Amino acid sequence: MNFRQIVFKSLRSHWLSTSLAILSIALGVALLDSVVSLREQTHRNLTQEGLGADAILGPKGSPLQITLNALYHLEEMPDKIPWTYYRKVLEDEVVADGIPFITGHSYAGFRVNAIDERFFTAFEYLPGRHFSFRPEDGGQGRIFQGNKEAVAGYEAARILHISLGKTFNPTCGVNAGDPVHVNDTIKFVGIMAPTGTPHDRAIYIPLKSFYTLEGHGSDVQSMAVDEDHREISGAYLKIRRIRGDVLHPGIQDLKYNINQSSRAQLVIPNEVLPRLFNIIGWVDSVIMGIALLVTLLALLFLFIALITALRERRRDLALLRCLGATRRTVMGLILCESLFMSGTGAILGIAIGHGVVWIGSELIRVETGLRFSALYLSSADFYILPALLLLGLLAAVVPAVQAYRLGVLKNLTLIS
Amino acid sequence: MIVKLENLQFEYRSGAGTFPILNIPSWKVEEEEQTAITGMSGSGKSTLLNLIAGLLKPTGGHLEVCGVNLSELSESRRDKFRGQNLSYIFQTFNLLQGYTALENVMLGAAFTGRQLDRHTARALLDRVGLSRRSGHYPSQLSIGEQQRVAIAQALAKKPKLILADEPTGSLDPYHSGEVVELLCETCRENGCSLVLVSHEMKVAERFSRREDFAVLNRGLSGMGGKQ
Repeated sequence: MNFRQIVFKSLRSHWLSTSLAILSIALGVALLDSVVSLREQTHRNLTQEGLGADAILGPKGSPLQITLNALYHLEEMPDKIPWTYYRKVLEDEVVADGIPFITGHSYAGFRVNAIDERFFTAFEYLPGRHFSFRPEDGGQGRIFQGNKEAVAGYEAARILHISLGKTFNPTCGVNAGDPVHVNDTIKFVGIMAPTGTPHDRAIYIPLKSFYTLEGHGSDVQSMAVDEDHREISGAYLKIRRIRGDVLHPGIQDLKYNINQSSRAQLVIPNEVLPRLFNIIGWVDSVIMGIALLVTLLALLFLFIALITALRERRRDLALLRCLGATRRTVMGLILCESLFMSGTGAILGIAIGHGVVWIGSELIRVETGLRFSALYLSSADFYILPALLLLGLLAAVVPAVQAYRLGVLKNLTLIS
Repeated sequence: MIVKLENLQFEYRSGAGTFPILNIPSWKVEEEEQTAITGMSGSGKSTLLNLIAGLLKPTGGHLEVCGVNLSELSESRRDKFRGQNLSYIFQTFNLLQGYTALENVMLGAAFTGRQLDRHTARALLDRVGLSRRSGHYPSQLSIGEQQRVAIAQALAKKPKLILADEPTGSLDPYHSGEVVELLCETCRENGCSLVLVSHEMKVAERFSRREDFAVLNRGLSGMGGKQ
């Protein structure tokens, strides 16, 4: 029987407190790990990837509201901008391309956006990635061509059981009770392959079909041909690059000039979204604090479990000393038991944490279209195990020192 | 020579003062010799065994066990020395409760620096007549059976000396005789010395060499040696 076997035998002999200590550590770590993973993936999803738009040309109003509406299909656009103004911005030397869109319609809870068809070919929803309708990618059908045709995002199609050829009547508005365009039946001709972005949760119709919907008044319908009076909700802008992948510095001048006008504003998502995190940052901190507290409580439980076990095992440890175990050996026994419990708890917790992210990612994907991966390795995955081993050692210091100082004869006298 | 004492002294120190417990001018145990020490309860017999086992450090004199002067060793070295050379059997509760009889026997050799395989441990249990109880925990064994396992555990490390402190104190006369007989036989078979202390004269009568602790511990017997 070697030292390792004695450690495991000892752990097994008080299996209930061992299991509870491991479980409590695992739950604390799972909470911590999943919170960190979801937080990091949220940051990555919302900021680093930029969701394909360098800038958004939108009406006057809250930049955050415009970003949420244009990229996340949330909120509503505060106003509209003139088509002529959009065309003028397109002519600026720093603007490489633009894709106009109109928001404000919906179907069964999913946004219906009218958009230029080049959205499906020229727009990069992630750097270097375009929408696909290829079956091998998970898509179906094709890009819309006629005014009465639509394309559904992958999640919208999956949840609403949309199939090619199915028709729908869009709602004029995004709130419950808004009127439905009963005379405007539109047919789905394409379902986009999944992108892991909020675009998966939207339905797209041709830009011009917005103006031709029967439910809209003649003043709107006239915009189909009268470009001087045409209005749009906004446009995704692609900015020219310099020196590889650096945004043209002229974007700041463009932003200034547009924002000085009374007609529109230029919103740069990568500037706006960090502000969103500042707003919700305290929630983030509270959740992280709770997770840390739970983990520390689990370590306190480990400490109590070790102390309790030590009190129950004084006789056993005295006998081990009598058999020839040194003070250091019994001290090492306690430290190794603690390391095993904290290490196993950490590994189990990381596994559970990834499971929580997997379950959470499904819910978030359905709700927002954002894709989270259970296999994503967060910073917590790397620091939790060594940190827990260290904390496990610290939790075991007092019991280990008590074991070191254990009076052999005092405890043997009790038994002999 | 397995044990050699010269002017061995041990004093118990506390806030109330110093109490001399042992003062043994000279005493020896030869290799493979079996000795019984008798005396009243609380006379200091156990203290003598604890000193020989290295669990206590003498306050004076010379104590040599297996050729090693224990007085000069640190506690850690005394622990290692005990692990490699000595076995100690108590009146009761010699076994770890979470370990089976077989595991307790294997544990006996755990600190010798060599591993005892299951086959050898089972053979030792067989020798003490408990091979069928190898999977039983101490709580499932009678006191007599536990003492037999303790003997097997003591033999597991192939010690040069076995110290037995009232090993039959909790047994009835029949089982008491049986356990002492087994202890003496197995010590003879394994070529190890045995020092047994007991207050029971019937137990001591089985030994060819008997020592009266009152005579051994000159002038101090009855001072109260329990530690």
